[in-house]
Amino acid sequence: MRKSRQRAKAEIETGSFSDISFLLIIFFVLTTTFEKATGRAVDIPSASPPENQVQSEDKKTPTVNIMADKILFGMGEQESAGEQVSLPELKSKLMKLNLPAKPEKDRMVIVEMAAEVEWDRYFKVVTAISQAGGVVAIVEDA
Amino acid sequence: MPIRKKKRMDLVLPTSSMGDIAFLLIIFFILASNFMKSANIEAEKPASPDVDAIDDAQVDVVIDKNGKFYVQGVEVDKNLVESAVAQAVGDHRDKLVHLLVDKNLRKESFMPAVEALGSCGVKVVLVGEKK
Repeated sequence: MRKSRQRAKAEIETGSFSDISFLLIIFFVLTTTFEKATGRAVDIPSASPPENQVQSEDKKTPTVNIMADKILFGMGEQESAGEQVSLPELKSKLMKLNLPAKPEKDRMVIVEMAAEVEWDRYFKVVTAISQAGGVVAIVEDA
Repeated sequence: MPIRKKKRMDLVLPTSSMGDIAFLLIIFFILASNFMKSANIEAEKPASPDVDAIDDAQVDVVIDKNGKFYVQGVEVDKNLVESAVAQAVGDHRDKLVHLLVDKNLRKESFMPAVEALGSCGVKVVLVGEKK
């Protein structure tokens, strides 16, 4: 007598799915770090201001000279490099200029820096200028 | 008169929908998470007292501690930063570009990126920590 072959029932076990998915959730919750990025939006002009514009307005354009060990601030006087200031002093001097109330071209702050200046120092100065409402204009080396 | 025994209600917690709920939660987490494109790039953040919370980046530009340039997590040549950013931004010049530079890098390393972003005319946010 021929026996009919019994077909093995193919079944996917779904009972443990909820355990697996909860484990995945726990993994996501534990490994996710909710970090809010911090920084400052800065206005960088699309190109360096024309040479003649800088020259003609040199007398009144605030100029910040960043060096490795000091910061100099002046109002564009050619004859002097500007006075040495600390970062809070620079900020208060820029605040006194009331830059946000001025049109964009008058909010320009010329930034010159030495080759050895590191990003951390540049970042502090630029964020201070931006906080005071200034537009950073970087002077390229000749 | 015989005292009737109060029938105790069987407390059964329905667990059949637990799997569905869990999967929905996973889907929520995956969709709500904003995965960092530059997570594996080594760049020490600078610090300044003049930083605030900022919106999430639409384009990420990073210069790592070795002076290598990354746009959207992909390494690019320093001469091609401008075109890579322009490509990432497309026609939407109002997109927010986050610039993260290793705090110890010197002028010659970071200035090409600053100039490139200036030329693109995009909204630049310098990323750093509050201190």
